[in-house]
Amino acid sequence: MVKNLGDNSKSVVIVGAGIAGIQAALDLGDMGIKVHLVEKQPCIGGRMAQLDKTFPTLDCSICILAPKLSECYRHPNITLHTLSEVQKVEGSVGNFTVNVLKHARYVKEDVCTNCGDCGSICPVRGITNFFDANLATQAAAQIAFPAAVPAVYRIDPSKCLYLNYEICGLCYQNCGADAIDFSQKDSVLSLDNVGALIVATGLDLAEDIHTLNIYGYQKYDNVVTAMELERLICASGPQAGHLSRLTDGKHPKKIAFLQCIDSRSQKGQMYCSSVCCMYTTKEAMIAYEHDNELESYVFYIDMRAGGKGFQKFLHRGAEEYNIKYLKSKISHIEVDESDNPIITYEDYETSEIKQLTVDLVVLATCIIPSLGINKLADVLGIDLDHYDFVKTHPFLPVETSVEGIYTCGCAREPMDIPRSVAEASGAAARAAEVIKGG
Amino acid sequence: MEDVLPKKTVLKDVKIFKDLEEEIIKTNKCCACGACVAYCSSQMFDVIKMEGYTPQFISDANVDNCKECGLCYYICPQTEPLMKFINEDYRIRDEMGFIQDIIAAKTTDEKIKEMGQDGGLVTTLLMYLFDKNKIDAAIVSEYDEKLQPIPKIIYNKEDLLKSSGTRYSISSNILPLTELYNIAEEIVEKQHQIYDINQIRMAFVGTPCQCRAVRKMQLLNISPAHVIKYVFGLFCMENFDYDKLFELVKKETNEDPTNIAKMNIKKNFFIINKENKVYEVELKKFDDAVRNHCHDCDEFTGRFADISFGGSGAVQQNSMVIIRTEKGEELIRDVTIAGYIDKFTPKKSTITDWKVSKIDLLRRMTNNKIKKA
Repeated sequence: MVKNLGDNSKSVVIVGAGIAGIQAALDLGDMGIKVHLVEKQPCIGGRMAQLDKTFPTLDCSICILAPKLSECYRHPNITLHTLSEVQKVEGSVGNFTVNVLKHARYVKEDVCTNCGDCGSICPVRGITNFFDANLATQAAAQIAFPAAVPAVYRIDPSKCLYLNYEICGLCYQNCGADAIDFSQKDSVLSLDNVGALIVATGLDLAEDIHTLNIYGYQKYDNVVTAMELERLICASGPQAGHLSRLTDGKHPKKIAFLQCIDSRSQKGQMYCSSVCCMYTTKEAMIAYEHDNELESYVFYIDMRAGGKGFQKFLHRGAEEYNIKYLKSKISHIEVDESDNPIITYEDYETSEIKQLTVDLVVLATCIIPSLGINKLADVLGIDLDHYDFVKTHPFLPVETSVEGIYTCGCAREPMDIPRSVAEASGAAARAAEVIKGG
Repeated sequence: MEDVLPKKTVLKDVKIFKDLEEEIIKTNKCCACGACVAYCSSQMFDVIKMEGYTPQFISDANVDNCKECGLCYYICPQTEPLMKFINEDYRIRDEMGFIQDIIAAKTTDEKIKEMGQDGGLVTTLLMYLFDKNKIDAAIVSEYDEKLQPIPKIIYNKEDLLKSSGTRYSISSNILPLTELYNIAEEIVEKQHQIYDINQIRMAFVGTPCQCRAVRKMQLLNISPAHVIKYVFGLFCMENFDYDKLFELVKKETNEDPTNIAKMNIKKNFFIINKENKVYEVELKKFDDAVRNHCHDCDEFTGRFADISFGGSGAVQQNSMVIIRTEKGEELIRDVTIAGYIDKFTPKKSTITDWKVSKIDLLRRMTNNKIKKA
C-alpha cells in the first residue's frame, strides 16, 4: 500500500527524468510525498535508456531501467510532465511556486494506444531520432523507441504538415482511437505549495558542442562516438545489434577506442569525465561478444578505475576479451582509400611516434552539463561552477546554493549510474526532510 | 459491403487530386513529372496512376480511395501554394534565380566525352558521387530502342553511360521513386551499410519543373523524395511530346526513331542517323510538338537545382554550369580537385567579365523563353 500524506501536503518538483530524477521521484513517492517529475523530452529514461549494457556487470541497461520507468508512470504520488520545462520559480524553501511550460504533444496522452498507425501513414520521413544518436530516422508522428514511457506518440510541430501548412491530416484520419488533437496548445501549469526542488538534468556530450574534427569525427563515417556505438551495437538500435561500419557495412575486426576526447584537455574541458575508462572496456567487451575475432585497442592517458569491482573488470577485459591497453597520446586521424582510419600517436612506453590502421574508431567523448542548465540556473537562482555543473559543497554534495533546491547525478559532476542512483536517494532524503519537517 | 462513412478530416478547404485535374491536368499545364503519382503510390493509397504522360485516377472505383490529404496538389510544380516558401529557401528574386557561381567545364573521362552531351558534366558528377560512395542510386533517364526516354533508377556507375546525352521529349523522372521501398530493399541487400531505407542517398537529374517538384517535396520532407540528396537541373528551353516529335522528324527527314543515333539543338535541330548522316532542320518546324506546359514556363536555367547544366553559352565540348547552393559548390570543388573535370579559363577576357557576359546571355535566353510564352 502506497502511503499518501494527503492532498494538502507539499510536493517536490524534480527537473529531469533520467535515472537520477526517476530514483529520487520513486523514493519520495514511496514516502508518500507528491512528486512532479518534469522532463523536456517526450519520454523519460534519459541517457541510461540509450545504453546497451551497464558496467561492471554487463546487465542490459533498458532491462533494469524499464521497471523503474513504468513504476514512475503508474505511481499514484508521481505526476509526469513530459515535453515540459520549468519556466519560473518563486518563493523559498517549503513554499515555492513553480511554473511549468508544457509543450503540446498533439496526441491525447490518455487516449493513444501506441499502435503506430499515425507514424506509418505520416508522409513526413527522414527526421532524425535523438534517441538513436541521430543514426536512425522517423516520421513527424513519432515515438523515440517502442518501449518509451509514456507509451504515447507525439507530433513534431516543426515538421508536421498540418501544423505548418494546414494540409495532410492523414494521422488524424488514420487514428482509430481518435487520439490526435491538433487543437492542443502549449500551456503553463502553475504548481503551488512546492516544498523543494531537485535538479537532475543530467548530461550532454562533447560532440554536442564541438566538431572534434582533429579526430576526423563527422568527416569520416568510420569515426563514431561512444554514444553512437551504444546505439549501433544495441539490439533495438538502428543496426539491430549487428555492429557494422557506416561506410561499407563490413563487421569491424579491429576497433580503436580513444580516451579523454575533449576531457582533461586545455582545448576542451579541464576535468575528468569519470566514466569513459570503464564504459570503453564495457563496449569493447560487448563488441567482442558479437565477434570473437575482434581486437580492441584502448588508447589511454591514465586508466581510472576507482569503483567497486572496476579494477577486476579491466583485468577481465585484457585477459578474456582481447583488449590491448596502450598508454599514449593521439596526434591525429586520417583514412586510407578503403576508409580505414589511421591513427597517429605517441606511445608513452617507448616515446615513439607510431601509426595504427583500424576498421573503426570510437571516441570516448567528455560528459558536459546538460545544454539547458544555464537557463534553468537563472530560473532557479542557483550557482553553477566554472564548467556549468551545479555548484555544491564537498560535504553537502546534494545541496545547491539555494536552500530547498537539491541536485544529484551528472547535473552535479560526471558520474556513473550507481553513484547517480545513490545521490538521487540522498537528494530525495534531503527534500523529504523539508516536506515532513526535519 | 461496408457502408461508406464520410471521411474524418481536420482539413478545411484543402485542394485535392480532383482540383489538380481541373486546374492543371485538363488545362494542359501538367508537366508529367510524376510527383503526384510517386507520392500517392508510395503511400499505397491506390488512387492515381500515370497513363502515358497523364496522371489520372486508376479507375472510377479508386476515386473514393483518395484520402483527400491534398499533398498531390501542393507538391505539383505547377501550383502556387508552396512557391513562396521554396522561392525564399532558394533565394529566388529574379528570372535567373540565385547564382553562387558560374563556370564552364568539361569531363576528363574519354568514354563520357564520346557519349555525353556538351561537356558531359552531369554524367561525370554522378560518376564521382558513385566512386566516392556519396550516393547509393541516381534517377536518370535512358532511351529505349525507339528513342523514347524511360526514367530509371541506377545503382552503379556502369549503368551511367547509357543515360548520358540529352532527351528532347519528356521523361517522368520523379515517377520511379514510387518504388522506393522496393528499390530500397534491393539496395539494402546489396550493400549492407544502409540499415534504414529512409537513409538511402540519391541524386536526381531533371528539368527545371521536375526540380521544382522535388524541392516542394523536400520542403515538406515527404516520402519518397526525402532520399534525394543532390538535385541536378538541366537547362530547358522547351520539351517535346514524344509522339508528335517523331511524327515531325519522320516528316522532315523520313527517318524512324529506331534509326536515329543522336539529336542536338544548337540554334537548329540536328538529327544524326545511325549511318552518321546529319540532318539540320529549323527549330521552328517542331513548334507544334512542344508540350503545352512549356509555353507558360518561365524557367530556363533550373533555379531550384543544386547545380544546373546546359550547353548554352559554353565553348565547344564544354558545359555551362550554374552553381546555386553550398552543397553544389562543395561538390564542384571536390570533383575539380579529384581531377574529374577541367574548368574552362577564358583567354580573351577577365574571368569576371566572362561570368557577367555569360549570365547576361543566359538571362536574355530566359527572357526570350518567357516572351515566347
